[in-house]
Amino acid sequence: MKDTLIILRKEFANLFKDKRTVFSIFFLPVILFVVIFYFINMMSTQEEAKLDKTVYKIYTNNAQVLKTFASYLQDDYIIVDKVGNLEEDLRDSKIHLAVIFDGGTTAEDFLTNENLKVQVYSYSGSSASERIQNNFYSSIRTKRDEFLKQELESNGMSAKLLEMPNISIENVATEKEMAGSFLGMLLPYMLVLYLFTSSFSIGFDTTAGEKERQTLTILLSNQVSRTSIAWAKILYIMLMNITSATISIIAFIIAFSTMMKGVPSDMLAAFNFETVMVLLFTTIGMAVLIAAIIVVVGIFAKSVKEASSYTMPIFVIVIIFGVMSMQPEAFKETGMMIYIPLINGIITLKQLFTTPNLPIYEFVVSLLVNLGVTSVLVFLASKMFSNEKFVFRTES
Amino acid sequence: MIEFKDVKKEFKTKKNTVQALKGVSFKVNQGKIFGLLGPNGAGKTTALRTLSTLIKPTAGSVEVMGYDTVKDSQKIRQNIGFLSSDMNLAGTLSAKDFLYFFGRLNHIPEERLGQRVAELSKYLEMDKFMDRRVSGYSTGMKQKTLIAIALIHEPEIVIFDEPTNGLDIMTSRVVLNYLRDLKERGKTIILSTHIMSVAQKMCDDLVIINKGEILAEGTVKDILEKTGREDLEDAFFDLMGVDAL
Repeated sequence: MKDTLIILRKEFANLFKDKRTVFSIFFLPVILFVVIFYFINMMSTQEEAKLDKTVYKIYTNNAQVLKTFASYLQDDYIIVDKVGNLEEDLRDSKIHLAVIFDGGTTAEDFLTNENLKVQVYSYSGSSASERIQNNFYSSIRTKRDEFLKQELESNGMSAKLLEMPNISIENVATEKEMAGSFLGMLLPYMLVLYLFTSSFSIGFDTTAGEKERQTLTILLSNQVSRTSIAWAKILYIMLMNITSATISIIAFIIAFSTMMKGVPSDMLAAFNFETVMVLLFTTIGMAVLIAAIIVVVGIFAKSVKEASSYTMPIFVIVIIFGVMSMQPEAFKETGMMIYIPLINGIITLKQLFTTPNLPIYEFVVSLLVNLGVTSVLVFLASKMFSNEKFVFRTES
Repeated sequence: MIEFKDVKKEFKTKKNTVQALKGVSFKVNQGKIFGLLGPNGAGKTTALRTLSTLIKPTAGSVEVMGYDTVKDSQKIRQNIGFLSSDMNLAGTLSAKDFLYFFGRLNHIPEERLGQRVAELSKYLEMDKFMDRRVSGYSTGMKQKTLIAIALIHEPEIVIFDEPTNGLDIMTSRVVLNYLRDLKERGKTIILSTHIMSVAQKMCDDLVIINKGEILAEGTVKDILEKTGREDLEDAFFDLMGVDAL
């Protein structure tokens, strides 16, 4: 254990003296997410402001009827009475909307005669065209409701009939459940993604990279046991991938929830002591297993490049399950999947945030399976560090 | 002290099997400088890697201080300092960091470790670059650091594979003088080199090896007598079946 800690300390000393790596692991994700979401938010605000100021050009064959139907339209518009090719003019933004009244001469004709048709043309490739189409449609519906109210009242009936039945919709989900639903959708996927991606560069650098640079032989010719070397490398990768993933996920969630709309504002509501413990130990179980996989592959491979290509299939499979976990109803029934290493961690985290009770069974099984497989991989890694076929297996 | 007993080593490639050592046997006595000479590909590095427990013999055995290199590898590694031509240093740490790291791995008490680092730094003239990152070192600086690492725990047996590789003449002299000093202190030194003048000056006993087989062994005097030459380089070429210039 003492030797493991000595090697671990050396790995961290080597890392922390490299300012670029420290910046890319600890600061870049925070800066990146803040910048990305700031720009997304800024661009959507600017786009909205631009659409608010736009004077929309609407082509119609009956300006009088159009004005009646557009009476509830909040946007400024001008009527265009001539177009070249209607579709091309929409695509080229020469007009934003075309409204063709087929037959009829007054708005009332179109509200009372089902055989008369209003044909509306818009272009979904233009946000201005999309917006005026939606707003014009709302205006027509409001005009229709107004007409129906008048008709009902003139026939001695209550206009309230249009609002029947009196529906009141209430979401009984607590703030904690809403935050949990959001985290259950995002957290398993993001966690597994970051645990893997942050392990790649550091993990392969300290295994296959050391073989390539010929810096491993010097350590192996010393009296340190191979198991200590394997544990040191695994713990180093694990601590780094957990740190990196935690920083990235916290930065993402803070940036996302403060800058984007429609996100539960109080994410902390989803956490209590038990949730944090299950989250922590499930993450450690997954992180240590990923680190062990990276070390075994790193020792086996001739180079960092080869190690990356070997790990890619495992990464892709796990990511597919991560993406699946983004579905709200995913992994309600776990079945035998709870016994699959790594996948069981995703399932446990999904259930942790989306079910009312703590998923104790899933938590215990996933932790035991992941730690069990890790122990086997540590044994394998220590044997590989003693085996010349792997230690001296390089491309040179 | 060290005994190679009919050691064979094969490396299997996709196409064929390479026999790096074909039944090599020799003994190294305590407190001597032992030279392992041979051209590139002779099997010197394989023999030294086997001795330092990094690889296992296909057949035969190697004993170091009564321990078997396969069964008691950890015990042997406690007593050897190994420098190989395929070792390198990289990263952000300095020579001082590396010396402290390997010293701690060898369980040297902190106080003694500080003294040992200072001794090696002074003797190998490393003071000027001790605190600089190894990634910026010249070949000579790296070689000195690797030598210091191999010696940090004051091993009984020093195994140096081409220790003067990449060193200028001044630094080579420092290193070779240090090896003589170690011999004076009763350490056993195994030296692999292709520089015959170094071997002639330094080694008490020699083995000349080619294509995995021993061509000659004994003292420098024995080999010169056997070949009828006055110079070890001429004797070496004779044994290789090549005309010297």
